[in-house]
Amino acid sequence: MQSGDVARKLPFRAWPAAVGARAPLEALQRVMFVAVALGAWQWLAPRLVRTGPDFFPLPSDVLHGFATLLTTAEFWTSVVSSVGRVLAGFAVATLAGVPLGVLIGASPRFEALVDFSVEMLRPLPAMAWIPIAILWFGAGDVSSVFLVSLGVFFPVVINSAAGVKATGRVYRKAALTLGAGPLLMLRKVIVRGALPYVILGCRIGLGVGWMVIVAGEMVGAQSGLGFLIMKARSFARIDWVVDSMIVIGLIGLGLDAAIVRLQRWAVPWWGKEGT
Amino acid sequence: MSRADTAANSGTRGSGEGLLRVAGVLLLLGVWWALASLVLPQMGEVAAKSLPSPWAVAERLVELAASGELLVHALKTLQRIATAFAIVLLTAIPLGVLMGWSETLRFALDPLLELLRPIPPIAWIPLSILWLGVGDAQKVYIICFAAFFPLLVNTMVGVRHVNPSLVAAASTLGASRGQILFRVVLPAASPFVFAGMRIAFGIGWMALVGAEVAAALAGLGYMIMAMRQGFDSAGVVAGMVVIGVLGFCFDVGLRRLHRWLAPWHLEFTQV
Amino acid sequence: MGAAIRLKDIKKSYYSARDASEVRALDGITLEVPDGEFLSIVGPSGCGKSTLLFIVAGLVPPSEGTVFVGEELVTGPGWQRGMAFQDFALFPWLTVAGNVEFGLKMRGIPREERQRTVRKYLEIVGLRAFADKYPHELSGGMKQRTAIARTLANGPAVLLMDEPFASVDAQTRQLLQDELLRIWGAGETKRTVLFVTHSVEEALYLSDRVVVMTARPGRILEDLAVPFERPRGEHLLKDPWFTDLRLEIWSHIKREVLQGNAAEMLPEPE
Repeated sequence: MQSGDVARKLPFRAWPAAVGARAPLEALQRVMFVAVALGAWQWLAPRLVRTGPDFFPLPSDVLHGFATLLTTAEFWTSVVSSVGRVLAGFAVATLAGVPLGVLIGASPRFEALVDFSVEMLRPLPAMAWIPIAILWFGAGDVSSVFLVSLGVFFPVVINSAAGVKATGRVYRKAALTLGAGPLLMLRKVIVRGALPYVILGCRIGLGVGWMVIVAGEMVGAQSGLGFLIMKARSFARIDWVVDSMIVIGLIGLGLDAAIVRLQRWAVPWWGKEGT
Repeated sequence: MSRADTAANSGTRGSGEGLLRVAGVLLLLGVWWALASLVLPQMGEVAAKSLPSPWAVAERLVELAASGELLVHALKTLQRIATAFAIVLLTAIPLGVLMGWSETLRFALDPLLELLRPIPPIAWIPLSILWLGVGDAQKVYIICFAAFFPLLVNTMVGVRHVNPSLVAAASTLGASRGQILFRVVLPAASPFVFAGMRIAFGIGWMALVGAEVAAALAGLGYMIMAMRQGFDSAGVVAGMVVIGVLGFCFDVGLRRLHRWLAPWHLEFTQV
Repeated sequence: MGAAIRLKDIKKSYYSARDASEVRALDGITLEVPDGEFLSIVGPSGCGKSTLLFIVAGLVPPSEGTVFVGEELVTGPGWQRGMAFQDFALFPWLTVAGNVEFGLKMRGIPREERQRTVRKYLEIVGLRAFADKYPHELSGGMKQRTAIARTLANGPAVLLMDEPFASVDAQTRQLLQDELLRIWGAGETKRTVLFVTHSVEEALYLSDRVVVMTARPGRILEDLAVPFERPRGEHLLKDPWFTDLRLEIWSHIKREVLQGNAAEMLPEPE
């Protein structure tokens, strides 16, 4: 009797891991499932709810919407507005946050001083700052950038601090035994060691920032994608609403991918070989 | 930045650090007070009103609490998050377990989920208002959308990355497939599930506040927006304090719950 | 109730569809382990000894060939083929007693009997006082003793051990080896043990018989009976015969390793 006859399914698949050319098959499967889902939406939805570009858009409506939306100047200025604000806020927050985070990670004394403030302000969602931001800065660019900065700031600070701390003991000791002076240590060892964490903080921060800007623009701005999406709704152009949602999602992915690129360039060794 | 971290890092613990902490608290309050009472009034009347002093905020907070207004809105917000969280727990965890356990199911549903996931919950606000109005249902929808994916993903990862030795050990001890799933995989994945719960809560809380700020008729987010419209800056800050404190309490509560339910996770969790 | 293990022409290959390559882990292993024998398998890294053990356990299906434990053909894992792992594989959410009880509980043994068995085996491994401790509170040696108690309590016909002492320090390792011999020798019936290890010394110290495997693809290179009488003790380590045997086996392995290095050596799939 051959053991091949008995194909009893083992209760797990980890041993040994099935090696295989999964990648192209996977991609194909994904496309198929998405197509099925879209098809179901297009075909099934009209039978269940009232559909149409003014209430429940179908994929066809969404696509048509894109055709018209992308030709309006307002769409593109909105994109530029939002992305510009996010980048500005991101820049401000990282410029302030990274040094602060590094300082916190490097000096337990400084950390003790600032810890309370950070721990108190951190759980406050950036969204909760919207009203006060409008109160302070009006409903324009400044308040938007301020909000984004807030959202980006805390993940950056916390992750940078964690990075410096993580680099701390082992690497620093190793460097010391090799005769490194403090400045050299700072540059070569700590910065490089902490860099992956800093970039991770930036990645998380950017994600939060992008969420915050859209919310902020929905509430208190006169331009940007958040504002656009609210305007589209008030004009009952729901197909444009869905289009904007897709665009917002795509830009979010794009920003994230950009940071991952940066990460691969700046810290190519991350994730490999015991980091 | 946990207490444990700081303690481990500092050479000399104890009074030196404790003093600095106290100094930190005082510093924060001091800077705030100075800005509110000394700096801004010099810059004009409008500026003076924009940042209330700590004292003014405290006063307003007591006022709001006493009048019951704070309670009404806070309860509304809490009710929404509780409902949404219950829904998310009951859907994301079972689905996450199933998707982690069954490769086929994962392949089937994954593309769909990957399509929905990148859309920020905030972006759903206009659409959800159209379909569900501005009430509780819409808020719950937004929170569910925000909290579902982190919990699902974490649960899935937890199930998929269960130490294969544990599964192998269980099967060589005579456990059936179902027994392995419920008695080994689930407990082994629970650190990830708990972590997912904390993250999901954080994101859900943020989304709720955002949704209430954007468009609502009740709730803490609505309250601070209304305060702003009334130029009641002390009220706005008071509301922010309440939101922050509540969020903090929940997070700590979840951490405590985690530690109580699963004391063996000490090695896995970072405080 | 022990059982004999019979492996017949076991072959195992892994296929990588990505580059259409085949990795031959095992190339025809035929082996008979009589009931009650303690057999160790040694060989160069990546020779497939752990894979062979998993095949006997039923955790991995062979590409070709059959495994019989007792009269039963092995088609999957089961409690009759108990296993001890290098990383202990203790369930962190259960206490020591809970872990030892696990197999019995899964098989539906009634409570009274379970508790009696658990107590008995905790006594045997000397961990009665730690019954309510959690694994993370134990040292490496204690963890492995718990794991062994857990496997034995279930009453398997054979005991399969995958480098169980590789994760503890050298001193604990020596103590655990003696413990294992004591437990194994004191049981009602001496169970069949299949023991995989990197350490030739350990294999000689513990077993009745040592099988040496070639480098990948794994085949049986040597099959020696261990001539030392039981009970075994530390005095054995000074015995010149012991040292000679050790060196002899090691020279086989070394040759395999060097030959293997010359050819293309891929890491053992695990």
